[in-house]
Amino acid sequence: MEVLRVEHLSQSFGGLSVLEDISFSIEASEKVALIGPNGAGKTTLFNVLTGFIPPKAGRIYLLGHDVTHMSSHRRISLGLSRSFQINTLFSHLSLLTNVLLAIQGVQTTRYQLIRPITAYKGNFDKAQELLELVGLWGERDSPITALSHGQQRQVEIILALASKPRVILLDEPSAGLTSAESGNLVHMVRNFMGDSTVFFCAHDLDLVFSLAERVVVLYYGQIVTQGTPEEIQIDPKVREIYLGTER
Amino acid sequence: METVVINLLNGIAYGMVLFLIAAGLSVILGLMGIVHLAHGAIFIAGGFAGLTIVKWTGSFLLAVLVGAVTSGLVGLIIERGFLRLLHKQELEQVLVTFGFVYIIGNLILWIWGAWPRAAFVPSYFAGSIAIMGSYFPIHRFAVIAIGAAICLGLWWLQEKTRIGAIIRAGMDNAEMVSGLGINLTPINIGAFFLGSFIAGGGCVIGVQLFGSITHNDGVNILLTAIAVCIIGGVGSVQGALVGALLIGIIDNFGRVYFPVMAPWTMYLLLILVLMVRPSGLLGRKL
Amino acid sequence: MFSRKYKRHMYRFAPVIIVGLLLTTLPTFTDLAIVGLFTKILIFALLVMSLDLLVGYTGLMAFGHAAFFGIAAYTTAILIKHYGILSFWLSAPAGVLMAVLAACVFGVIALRASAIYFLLITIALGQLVFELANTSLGKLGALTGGSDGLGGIPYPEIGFSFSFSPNSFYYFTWGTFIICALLLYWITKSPFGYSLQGIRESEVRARALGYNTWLYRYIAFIIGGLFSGIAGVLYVHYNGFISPEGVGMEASGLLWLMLIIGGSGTLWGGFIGSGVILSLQYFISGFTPQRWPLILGVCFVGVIMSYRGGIMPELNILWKRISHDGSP
Repeated sequence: MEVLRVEHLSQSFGGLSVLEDISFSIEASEKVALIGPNGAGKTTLFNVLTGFIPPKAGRIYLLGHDVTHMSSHRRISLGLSRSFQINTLFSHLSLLTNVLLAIQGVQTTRYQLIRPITAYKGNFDKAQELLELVGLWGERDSPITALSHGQQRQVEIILALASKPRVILLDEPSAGLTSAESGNLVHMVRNFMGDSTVFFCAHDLDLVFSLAERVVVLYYGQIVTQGTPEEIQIDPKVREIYLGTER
Repeated sequence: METVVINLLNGIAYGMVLFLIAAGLSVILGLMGIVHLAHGAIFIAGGFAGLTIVKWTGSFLLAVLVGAVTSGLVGLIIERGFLRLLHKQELEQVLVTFGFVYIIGNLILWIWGAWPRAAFVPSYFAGSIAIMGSYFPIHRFAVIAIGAAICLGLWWLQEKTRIGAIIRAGMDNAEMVSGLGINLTPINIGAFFLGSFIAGGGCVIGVQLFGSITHNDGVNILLTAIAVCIIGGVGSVQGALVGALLIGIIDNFGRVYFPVMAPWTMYLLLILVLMVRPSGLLGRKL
Repeated sequence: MFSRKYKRHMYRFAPVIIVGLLLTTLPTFTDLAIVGLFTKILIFALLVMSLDLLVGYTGLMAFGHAAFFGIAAYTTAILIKHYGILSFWLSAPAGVLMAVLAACVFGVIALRASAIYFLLITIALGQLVFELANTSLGKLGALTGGSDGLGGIPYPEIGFSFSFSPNSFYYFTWGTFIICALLLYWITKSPFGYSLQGIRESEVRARALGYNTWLYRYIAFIIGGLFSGIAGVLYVHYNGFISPEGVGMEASGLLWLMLIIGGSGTLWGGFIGSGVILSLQYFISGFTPQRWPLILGVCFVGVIMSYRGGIMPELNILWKRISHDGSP
């Protein structure tokens, strides 16, 4: 079943064309990687998919709905979630609050005005589960600013998981992680996002090859090729992009 | 028909005075990101200082100078003594300038008392000229002319000098400018002083249009100046001019033809512009 | 005897309980002037706490907050003076309703903008209300009394042949304050309240988690208008008189000063800020009433230059140290 489909998506800033006629689709539970050199348009694509920037042309379909002009928060409630390349957390709130807010984001209780947040024990249990995934339950009362960069990256990932999304977009999830932390990331995706559809972009090709079933290659805003990791590895066009033409 | 022309000229004259206040406010906001709420009080302070000089010496020119310098110095004290220490804390800077609204206003009250200061028109600007059957004060022509001259001067500074280029660059990306090795601090100080200086001088020159000034007028004039900056667009001389003339003319016509609505026409216009095009008619995005 | 958990709760709420007891018994050990002062302090505390919800919790730089206070006060005053609607049960809800309606309208206008422009729009809207109150022309001028304002407003007429005195009105205010403060406290501890804080911290993150950030800000704005309106109704009965000065930028600025001194984002900071500033005003006005704005301005600048968090967070830290209460 198709969960995400993009048709002829284009985006430009001023005169600069950043995304050109992008079309692809992703099936349920697929793990797809988006690779391409810096400036290829990966984060812009993510911003368009999540509704932070409207596209100049094209359509986006999420779980059968046309979300092309739908606001970000409504896409999230349909089952999308996202992590950011640069840590975008609630800095001065505690870690526990961050996770609770992530869990609550798709629940109607988020509009509850009078009952205290502590009354929703179920959410606290879920938060504990998530934090224990990355071994941060002990730090739950620390403000985000007290955590290390690597810890914050991991929090980015858990926040994307908290709403039990069907489609998860991870923007450079391993940026700034040590290789041990990257390994943990792979473990998390394999074991806790097994049923979800994951679309991630990365520079770390090790990560790509250990996680992705399919790879989409973006270059100067255009999809150059798609295929399995093995196919991409030997594709001459890809080699040219990453390694330059042989002399 | 004559009344329309007279009203238009009155509006332009008023607009020129507004320009003299708003220009400083606009540059400070665009360059340093500070909403300088005390700017109106500084304007009034210059006016009081100048009018006192007139009482003592009778020299209008000296009064303008003293008024301008007084305002410039007050502005400098606020910037160097306080705002500088709150670097990058924009909300705190706004609040500090707000505190100075109270301080300056009350100091003016303390020094000069509660009675309004009457405006003064120097002898060489006295009298009126007949225009199409009605009379228009020469002084107001002078206001328009002086305002236009200063506007031209500022525009030349903005467009044709290196300092102007640096200021415009600083409004777009201050970090980049510093990164290029240009020290923005003296530029910022200079802009702050110049803005206050022109405002103070402008008050002495233009006080005739208000009739009189009291220590409380700082807030009202500030809001009008903010409206000018928003409507015309922050960060450019031409924006301040367009906004000022627009408000000056509309406000004047409003008072004449719709006196009941008069005070709010400006606010309604302001709110309209803010809703539709927050960066103003000619401004850069904040 | 008491479990450790009870002891912790007692420590945490002890200052609130002590202050509460003092305020409840106030009329028994002070004179009418002090009772009047504290009535005013409670009214402004409520007003500043409603502002704190917007500023400290939601991160909205609302600079025209006094407008809602003024609208409610004027509505009540106009109904009582010009339309003879003396019953508190009619005039008070009407006043609060007008404040809420204004917040609904102003919210739509102001929330289109971000950061600095929001600040400027709220100033402009506040001044618009000021001009409406200040106008002496036309029918509106006749209603509002222009720059002189409206006076001669009696204590609330609640029926049952009951007449208020300064002491009983104090208790009325105190009771209203307790209810409103409790509601505000519950709101800050609710899922909604925490969502507001998240939106304050990172709007992008909140949106990416499914929060309709505009709607949250709008609802917060309206809640702020609601409690501001309640304070306005109380004020016009307390003061007997309302004038444009209570509505414009200087009034809003005073609220900000109280908020800063007490500490924003703490809710109770509003109470402390109100208490400090109004007490200061009370004592200083005994000596040099003309210099009060100067002293106010100096306090304002002084506090901002030195004490960014306000008094409340410092008191909190101090209190935690005393009561060995480590948990948040």
